[in-house]
Amino acid sequence: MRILITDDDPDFRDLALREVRREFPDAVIAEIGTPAALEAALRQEPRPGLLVSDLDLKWTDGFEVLAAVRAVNPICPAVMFTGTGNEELAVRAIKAGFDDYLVKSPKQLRRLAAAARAAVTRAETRRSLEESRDLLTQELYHRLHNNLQLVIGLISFTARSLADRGARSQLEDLARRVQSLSMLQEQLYRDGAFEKVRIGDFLRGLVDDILALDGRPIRASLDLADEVLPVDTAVPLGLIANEFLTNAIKYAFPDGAAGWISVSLRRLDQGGVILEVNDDGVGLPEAVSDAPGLGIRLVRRLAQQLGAELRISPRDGGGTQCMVRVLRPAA
Amino acid sequence: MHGPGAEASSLKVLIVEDEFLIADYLAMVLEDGGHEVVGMAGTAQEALDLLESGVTIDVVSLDVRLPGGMDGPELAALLRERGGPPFLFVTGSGDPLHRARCEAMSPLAILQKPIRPEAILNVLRGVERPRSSGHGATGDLGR
Repeated sequence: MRILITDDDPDFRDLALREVRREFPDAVIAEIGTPAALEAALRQEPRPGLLVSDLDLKWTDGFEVLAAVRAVNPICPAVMFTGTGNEELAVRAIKAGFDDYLVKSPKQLRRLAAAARAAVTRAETRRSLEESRDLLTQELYHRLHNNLQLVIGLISFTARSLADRGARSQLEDLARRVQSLSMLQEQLYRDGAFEKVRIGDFLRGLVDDILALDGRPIRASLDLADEVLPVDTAVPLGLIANEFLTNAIKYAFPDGAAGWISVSLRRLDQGGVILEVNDDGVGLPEAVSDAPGLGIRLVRRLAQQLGAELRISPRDGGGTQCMVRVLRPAA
Repeated sequence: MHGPGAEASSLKVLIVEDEFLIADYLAMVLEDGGHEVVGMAGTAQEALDLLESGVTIDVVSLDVRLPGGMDGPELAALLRERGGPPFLFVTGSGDPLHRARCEAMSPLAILQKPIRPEAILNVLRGVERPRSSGHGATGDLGR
């Protein structure tokens, strides 16, 4: 382990060094009294595993030193060892990230070794906790994705086993919905940001999938803003998009007709986003308003949850226009 | 389902997956796409046995985490070393280390579970089936 001791006064450095040495006999200990010495020490490998620093230095202060050390080792434990002691400073030191705070007195000097050891132990514990948390996250991720795959498999098997075409198609829709949810879930992990979703990427994948599985000559034009939405907005919006698209594919182009679908996601000047799915198909089935199907009911409910404006209407020039406007994405 | 009369793009696929229902689902997706599943293995060793048995295999779908001491990337390394068929990974893992190990094997693709059926069929569209010998690219796995 490498230990840095920062102090202007060589005598104090020497005192501190001897104390720390008792606890870490094999450590490489660097005494730092100048900016150049600090800079050189920070460039060396391995990176520092402990910092003992005075507060007032002629060329900087202990907080700056800590920041510089943490820049090369963010979890480096640190002890402040200073002549200018008061309670306010102690609080500041702890808040700034020092593990402990000692005043230069014979009594406290004897505590230095123990304080240094405690700081190092704490840092090790923190690191191992972080490692097991990462491990747990990976394990849960793996389990979740395998189980989602199983769920989709089970739904698909069930669909296959049914003779009734209508029932089969309902189950295929269900598998599609679970698949969409899974894709949203995956987007969450993709950038390591667990609360945000790149909704444009999701929509692109969704359109690819739905069109490719359909196999008919349906063209898609996409105009997707590079929008990052909080998960509480992205999931309902993603599910709405799935329903819009599935609906268009299912009803707009009967008898294997060719067609065109456009999907756009735009950011609103006043905040929020607007998602539109348009097609040039045969238009709305008449039943939409009287006895809405499950898809429409889901869309209405999800739009309600988002506090969003929803409009499904005939499109000028034929076809259908589906629009949802989310004014305030959840924080 | 897709015997000798199947279209030219039909590939003979080996599925290596320790969750059998997921293997069945993959098989369903692949067969729907016109391919033929010639074997399913729950461990790397079973996969190697199948590969060495002389069964024609054009492409292997590999799970990353496998029981039995050898995981997907390790099996992939063996396939490469012995001139076996091309492979793709189908994984539930989001671990960057796993991903890096998979990438290092130059797979056809790394697909995340739950897979998009079209995604796996797309990957297979890029695979040429060796036509001349009538044998797949099993290579010399027995050596």
